[in-house]
Amino acid sequence: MKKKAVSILLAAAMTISLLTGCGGAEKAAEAPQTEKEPAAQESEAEQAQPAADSQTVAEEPIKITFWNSFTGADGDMLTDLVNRYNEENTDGITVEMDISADFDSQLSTAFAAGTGPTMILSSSAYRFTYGDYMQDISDVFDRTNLDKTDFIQSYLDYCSEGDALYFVPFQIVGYYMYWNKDLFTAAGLNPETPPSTWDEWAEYAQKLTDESKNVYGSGISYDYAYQIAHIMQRFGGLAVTGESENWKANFEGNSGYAKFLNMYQTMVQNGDNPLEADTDSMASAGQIGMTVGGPWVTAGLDTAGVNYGIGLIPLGDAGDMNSVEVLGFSVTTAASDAEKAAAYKFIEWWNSENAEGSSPALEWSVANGFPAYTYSVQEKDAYKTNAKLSAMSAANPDAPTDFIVDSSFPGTNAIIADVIPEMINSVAFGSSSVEEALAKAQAAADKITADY
Amino acid sequence: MSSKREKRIKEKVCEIPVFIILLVLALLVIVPVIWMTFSAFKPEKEIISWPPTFFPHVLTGQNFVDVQKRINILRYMLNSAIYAGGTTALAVIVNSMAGYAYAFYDFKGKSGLFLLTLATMMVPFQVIMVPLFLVVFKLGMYDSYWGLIIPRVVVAGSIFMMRAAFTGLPKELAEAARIDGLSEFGIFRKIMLPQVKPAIITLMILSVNGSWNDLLWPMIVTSSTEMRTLANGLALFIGQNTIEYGAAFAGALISLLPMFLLYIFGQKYFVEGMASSGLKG
Amino acid sequence: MKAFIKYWNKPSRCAYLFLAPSVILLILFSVIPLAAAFGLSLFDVPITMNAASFVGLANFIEAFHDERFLNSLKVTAVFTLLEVPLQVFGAFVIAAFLTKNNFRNKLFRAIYFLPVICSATAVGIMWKMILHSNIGFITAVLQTMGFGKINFLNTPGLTIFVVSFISLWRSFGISAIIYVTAIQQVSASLYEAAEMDGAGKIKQFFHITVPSIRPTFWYILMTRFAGALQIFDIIYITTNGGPNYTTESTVTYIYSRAFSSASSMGYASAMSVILFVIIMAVTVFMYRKMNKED
Repeated sequence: MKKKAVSILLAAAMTISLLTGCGGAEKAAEAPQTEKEPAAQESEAEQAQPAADSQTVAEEPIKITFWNSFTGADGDMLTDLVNRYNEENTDGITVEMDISADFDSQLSTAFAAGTGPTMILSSSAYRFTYGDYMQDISDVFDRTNLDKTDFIQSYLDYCSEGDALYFVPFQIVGYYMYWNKDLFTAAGLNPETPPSTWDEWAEYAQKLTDESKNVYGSGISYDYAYQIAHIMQRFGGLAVTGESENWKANFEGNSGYAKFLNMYQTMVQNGDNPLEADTDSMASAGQIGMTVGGPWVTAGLDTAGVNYGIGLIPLGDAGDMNSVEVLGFSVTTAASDAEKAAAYKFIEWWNSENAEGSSPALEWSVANGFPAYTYSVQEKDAYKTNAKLSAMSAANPDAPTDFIVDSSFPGTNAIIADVIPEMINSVAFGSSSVEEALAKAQAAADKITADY
Repeated sequence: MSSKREKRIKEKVCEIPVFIILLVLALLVIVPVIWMTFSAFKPEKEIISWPPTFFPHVLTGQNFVDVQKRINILRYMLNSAIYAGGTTALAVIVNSMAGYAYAFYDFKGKSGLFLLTLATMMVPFQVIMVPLFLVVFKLGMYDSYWGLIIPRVVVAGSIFMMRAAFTGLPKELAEAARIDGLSEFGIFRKIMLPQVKPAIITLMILSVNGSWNDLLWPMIVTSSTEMRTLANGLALFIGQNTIEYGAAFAGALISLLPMFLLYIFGQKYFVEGMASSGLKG
Repeated sequence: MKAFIKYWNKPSRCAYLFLAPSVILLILFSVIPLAAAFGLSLFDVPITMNAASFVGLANFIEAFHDERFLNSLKVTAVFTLLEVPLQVFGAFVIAAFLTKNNFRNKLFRAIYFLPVICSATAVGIMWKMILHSNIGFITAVLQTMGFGKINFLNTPGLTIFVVSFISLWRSFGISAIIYVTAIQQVSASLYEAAEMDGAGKIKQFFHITVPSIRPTFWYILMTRFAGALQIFDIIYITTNGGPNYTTESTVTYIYSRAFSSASSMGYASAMSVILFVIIMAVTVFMYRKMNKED
């Protein structure tokens, strides 16, 4: 049934439109189209042919394509690094990078046609959607100088299914707490001691709020599911746990989640937290006392000249944890063996030290504030002395790292894109009580877990 | 005599509220655009600030420098121009021919074909995107200017618009030309087409503008960065997590300018259209 | 050869020649993908379309039990009722005042046209910024004028009006200009004759202008209608359906089902088919009316 279904459907559609179309001219134009079809279906085979040829002459220049969705300032840095690789490498490899403003549209259409880039950069959760088009790259450690034991195992787990490895980690995205030190001082709070519990958060939020200045103490956005999820799991643990075929959703009766939702609701009602989708801009404008977000928040705060501090998100009743997403390089099924080898070379370069002991991975980590995924980078001085990173890496290394659901749960997208937003919206706008919202979330999540 | 003068005065008095309405609307339109223009010259820090500013406190050209540094504006503009120009040139020919046929001829299956044409504009692009891509791919047009242009030529809305323009013309014109021995295509090209010049200009502007600002199609149907259009390039300033407002607005202005000049240029032709429409009806 | 030309030169036959290029392109690039998408509505198929299992009408049954889908239909209907009449009639009235080619009118037309040529993305983030509840320029101005703090983009019930306004703001200029060209096409002799009969400006407007631009009116009505029922980009950029799904249009929801969550292309297609049937039904109804008038 695989693959054929859609081809048949398309062919059927063509035939139907042939029959309904009137006039001879159209038929003539249609004919070459249908003739072409079988040829195109073999495109995969055709693609493999030149690949095999080029492998025999290994040192031939080779061009590989590399797609990702790094729009924004960090994409600019990625472009510079890729350009550097293209200049530096002596293997005749050219990496042609394409940053996409609509990555999903570009990927899904390309994959559906059996084409696509050599290499992509995406969240490890993409394997649940596009896994059929990703190659097992577990041999990357055998075929390059990369040392598997240098990679932090819990991050590799995000990227693997059984023995198969679909990604080599590229960036670890954790969320952190940011607080505006000037606002703390103005409110009579100590600017060096951020809240360490959520009760303190609520208490500080009240003190920080200054209606006359349009300042809000707490900046939690109802329209920012990732932010909500990172906070929420500190209150009530993971939303989906268990194992394949036996997943269990934990919304209904989760007292931690209920506590979070009640706290959020109270802060909104008291005017300590704005009812606003875009709280990041407010934080940059210096109008928010405390907020939670990814490392990119610092970029906005820095440009705006906000005097801020970074710390770990306060822990809640669910105990010690360090929720992260893992982004990684993966090689698609559109890549030939030669292209795959070239992609490995690039990934190897990304994680290799130069004469000065620096590596692109280290530069990336330090410049953008993403924690390291290898022990060797963690040991670097440039890494250890970076103020932002040290605050971010203060987390207990042994704490579980799963983000909102068990990292091997394939339905993670739906939980973050549908279940959590529906829940937080209905609470924020009072269309249902906290209990009702959780019950509805449970029902929705149960439907998703039943699928896997 | 006096009644005519009264009428004149009455018309003049009527014009004042009309002018006020038009002015208010114009302000409503232009104030946000001016805000965006000013913002393009503000440092990022000032765009997002409390209290918000309208006039820049600090003037900077940095945003434009950033745009110029980050993307290959000339190359992208050239691609946009090829995409927009190619699509528009073909669209004018194909859509006006079709619109003319629907307006002037009676033939079997007219209603059905027209409704089928209309039907094609009723499904969201996101849904037909993947099958459409497969067709383009199988025709071997992937990552080429042809693949970019050809599928975007026929627009149901444009056919409809040309039909509307031609419907307004008197049928006697065609009859007279037929008696003079002009072929059907000759009637279309020499008699009818010049009569709908303003509609053609409108179609051109719509088509150029549509492809100039089109983000999704060029992105999925091309794969190499040399094929990227300006709209794709400008999307780079709107990150997944952060937006570079200054650069985004600067980019928007850069991309707006050629379109605006084209419009001003096109507007000249509206006048000619007006002059030529004094038909013997 | 001559016979060939003669054969095709008959008005009833050459219509097909005039239509051939557009019909061929339409079939290839619109009808086939459309038919394929419709076919997909009967399958359970992910976005990459590499596996499909036939599920019959299950997707349709699910849609009619999906609260968010039903809500999105409601939102779309409200949006359409707000946007289309204002656009179709409002732009016409404005166009009527702008037909003369003098400097004032040209200036107004150029201004009204500005938002049309801005990219949707730029327009979206601009409005998002100036209407921001906390740091928005317009919000702040209204607050100092004593209107209180209006949360334009985060108030259920209000935001749909804001989104409709932004959509109108962006596109009424093009509707007005299309009307202007249509009014300018009206034969001057008609007006001269009316003038001689002593008809005033208003009478001329209703007796000559309005009937003459009927085809254009239908064009704008029907395309705007189809456009409004498929509203996506402005919503996607400004509110992305929020607050609390009160601005989630059908296409916004379809998009999120196709890509961002469980990636079920079959289900997205099924919802599109339902939307298609609704739009088509209204269009056929309007088309009948239009043909009667012609």
